[in-house]
Amino acid sequence: MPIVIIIVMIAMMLQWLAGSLVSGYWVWLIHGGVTLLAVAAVYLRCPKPVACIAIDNRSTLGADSLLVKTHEEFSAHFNGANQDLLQVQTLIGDAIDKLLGSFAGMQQLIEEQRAIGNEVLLSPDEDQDQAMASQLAETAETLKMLVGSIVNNSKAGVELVEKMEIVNAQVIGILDVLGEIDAISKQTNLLSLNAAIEAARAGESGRGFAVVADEVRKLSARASHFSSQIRNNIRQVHIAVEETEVFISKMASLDMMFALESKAKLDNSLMKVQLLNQKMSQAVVKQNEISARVDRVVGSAVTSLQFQDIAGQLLGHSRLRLDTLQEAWQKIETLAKREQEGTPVMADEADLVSLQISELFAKGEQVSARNPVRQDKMESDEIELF
Amino acid sequence: MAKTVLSVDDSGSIRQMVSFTLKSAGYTVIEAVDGQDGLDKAKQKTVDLVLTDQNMPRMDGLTLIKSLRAMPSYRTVPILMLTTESGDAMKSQGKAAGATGWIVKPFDPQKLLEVVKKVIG
Repeated sequence: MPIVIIIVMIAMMLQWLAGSLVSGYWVWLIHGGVTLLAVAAVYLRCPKPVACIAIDNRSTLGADSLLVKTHEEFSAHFNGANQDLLQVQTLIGDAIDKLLGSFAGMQQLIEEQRAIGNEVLLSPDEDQDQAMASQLAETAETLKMLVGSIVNNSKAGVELVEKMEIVNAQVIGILDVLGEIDAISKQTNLLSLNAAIEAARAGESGRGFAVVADEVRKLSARASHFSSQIRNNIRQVHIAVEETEVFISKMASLDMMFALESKAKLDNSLMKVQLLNQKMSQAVVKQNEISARVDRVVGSAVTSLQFQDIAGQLLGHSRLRLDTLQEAWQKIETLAKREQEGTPVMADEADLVSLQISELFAKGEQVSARNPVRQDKMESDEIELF
Repeated sequence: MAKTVLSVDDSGSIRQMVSFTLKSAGYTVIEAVDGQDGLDKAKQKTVDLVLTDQNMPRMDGLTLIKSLRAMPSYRTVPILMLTTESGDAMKSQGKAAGATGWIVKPFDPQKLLEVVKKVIG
């Protein structure tokens, strides 16, 4: 086979390969290309078409033999590369599907979380925060009324104590009056006694007077007895009034203190509840802000995950290039095999194969030109409405 | 009543993204795996919007648009291309075939939603 054709073919293949080399994944293919060059070099040094004689003291293997011998290996590598690309496509697709599922789930959960936050924050008709504040104000007002009522009761108790003091003074007045009655009773008794003495001194004529004097004494004794009973009763009343006074006074004082302390405590509690409510509202608002940020981040991740579709198309494109390479390599190997079998390849045949290979690559170039992926980064900003 | 969008793409992940984005905004989404599948589904039910990829097996996006525009029920239905293709020549072909708009991948879900809302409300 003409050396020039071999070299041209190899050069074309390598040039074409260079167009596909995008990562370390292809290193072994470069190695393959270098091997091809080595074959070409051997062929250059050994221009005889069939069973090349020794090109040096160590080797008698012809380039055609080498081509035929390595063909299967190259073919296996081409197939392997194709399979690997397909596997990468499948793996990426599978992983992206799962990642997308995760992101979709995450976004769904964020939505639910946001909905719960909004439910806490807002009622259907009015702002929940205002509703809470209104309820707190209403509670405070009710408590204020209750405390006012207790304070009024205490004041009434103080007035009652004052009235009791007046009653007590009146009772003391009654006791004083009773003292006068006792004195009158004693004097009446003394008078009746004197009357009885005078009646006795008068003798028979004074007998009737003695009876009157005795009745007067009895009346005086009864008056004294009643006065004593009244005094005892009044004293009981006096004691009871004094005890009631003390009790009412104590109760009024306790009610007032309890009411004022309770009011202070409740005011404090209400203030804490209001603060808690405000903090809760702020937390929900912050949570919503964070949710929105996470939403944007997930959106960005979802945008980036579309690399699977783009990379998948690029990998498919690379597989097409590999197929073309394999086909071209197959044609070269066929010629080499013929020469190895002793059938020389004529120049016109070699030219024809060269032409076929050129056409193959030209077709490949057309496919390359049809590569739909022009992006070199994952940015999305191109939207056009006609 | 929720509007229906037909999402045609041979990439399962893209269909999933489109579907998730639009469903979360209240749209009903029908998925098709290529142009032919999209055409079959479009015939079964007239949708409010078609979102289609260009490069797909069996039938590509441009052919799908031409086939849809040939149907009386799809003469005015918006059709948006959602593709990696970004060349002017391809866009011109799309416009000539009857596409309503062109979105280049990768797309931002939020922007896609905005466009869809703008086109069908």
